[in-house]
Amino acid sequence: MKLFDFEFFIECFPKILAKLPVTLLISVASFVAAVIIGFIVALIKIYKVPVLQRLADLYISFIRGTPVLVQLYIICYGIPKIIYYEQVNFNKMLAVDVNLIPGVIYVLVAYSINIGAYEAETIRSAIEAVGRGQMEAATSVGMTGAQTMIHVVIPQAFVIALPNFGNALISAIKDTSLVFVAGVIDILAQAKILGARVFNYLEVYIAAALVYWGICIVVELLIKKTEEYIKRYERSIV
Amino acid sequence: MIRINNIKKKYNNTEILKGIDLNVEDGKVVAIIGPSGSGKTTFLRCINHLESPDEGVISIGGKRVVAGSSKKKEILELQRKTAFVFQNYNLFRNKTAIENVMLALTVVKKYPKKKAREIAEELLDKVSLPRERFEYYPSSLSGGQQQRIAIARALALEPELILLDEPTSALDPELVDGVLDVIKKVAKEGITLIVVTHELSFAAEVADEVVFIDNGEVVEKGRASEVLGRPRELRTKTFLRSIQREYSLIG
Repeated sequence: MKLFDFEFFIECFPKILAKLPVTLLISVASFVAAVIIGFIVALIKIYKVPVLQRLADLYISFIRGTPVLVQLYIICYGIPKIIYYEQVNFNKMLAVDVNLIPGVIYVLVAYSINIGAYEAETIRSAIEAVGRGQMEAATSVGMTGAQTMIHVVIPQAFVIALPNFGNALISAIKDTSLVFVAGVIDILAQAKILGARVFNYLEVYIAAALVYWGICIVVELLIKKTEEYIKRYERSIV
Repeated sequence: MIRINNIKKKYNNTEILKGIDLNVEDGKVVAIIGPSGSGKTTFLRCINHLESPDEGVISIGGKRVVAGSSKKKEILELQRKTAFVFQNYNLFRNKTAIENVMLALTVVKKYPKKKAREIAEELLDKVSLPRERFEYYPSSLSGGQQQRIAIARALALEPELILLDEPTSALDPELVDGVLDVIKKVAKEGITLIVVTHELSFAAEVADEVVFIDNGEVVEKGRASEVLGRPRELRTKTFLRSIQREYSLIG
């Protein structure tokens, strides 16, 4: 027995790398959806919308207080059951065959909801960090609330939130390694499958780790470049 | 004519403004003076509803806003007839000098970019910002330059009234005169100004009327030479003496 079967490792690598698009699709798509969810929840909290504000707190608290894996299970088992229940007991408004919904849909829903809760807090604090003075200045020249948001608050909040967005995207890429529970074959699931054939788990897991590491380094670089470009109007630390 | 009637404002049961009246004829300059915490800034912010007064009626150029019963749209219309110059400038950090002036023109007035830029260039020339600084972001400009841009921004929408909240208090001493000169220039053009200020010599020179506010009410108002030169009320006298003492210590 070899400690590390290098040939097998080299052989597996491209097969694992081939699943990179799956991981990227899930993480980037849920991240984008999460930013939208987070923005809405942040606005609800900032404007202290009655009732919804309580729900927003509950949502953030629940998501942050439970493991992603548990949330994935709840979505993957919960949604089909709800759809099925509706079809049996009501008038079949949801005319889909539960068995035909691809697992990736559940995964996208689960991760969007999960990341959204974290983004809500990031976006809220970023908007608040822009400061009342900026909003008052916009009001004083007769801009409406929406105009102020679009031209003054969001561009500045985005810059403030950017480092956090970067971290969140990197976490998202790594957190998606749990998607096998929904039957989605991503980098890690592919590694498991390949490893199971010959019981060479160490090689495939190291290959998977290298793929994750590589993509995270690239993403980090991209974020850094974006940050430099966007922060051109700030002189050092403001 | 600007009419401000019976402005009242409370924060957590503390009465900040106890019913302030002020009428200003078009083109006049009013200086508001008073000790810190007297409510003068709050009063200024209530005039264009940056702060909503609890009670009171404000009418500017035919637009009338009644505290508590006027709609958002009416308040917005009032705000579009006024402009505000902040103590700490509050220029839009994500916009260059010229974009700061252009923004309200393109967004609120829906002017095409080119027309907005022409107006903005003219205004920045008026406040004597060097042309090569037009594309600078606020973070790389001095306080005096930022405040002058803020004045240009305030002028852009051709407001009937400009409110200035201690426009020179945050500036380094050597930059104060430049900003005051710009304000004097604006005053000469016939725009109505209400200025909260600690610069008594500036008030004496520029203001048609001086209002002394203390403890949320108007203690004394009248011609600048009267209020500053021959105050009638004891509180005014005490306040002016304390400020003059400060000046003589420096001088």
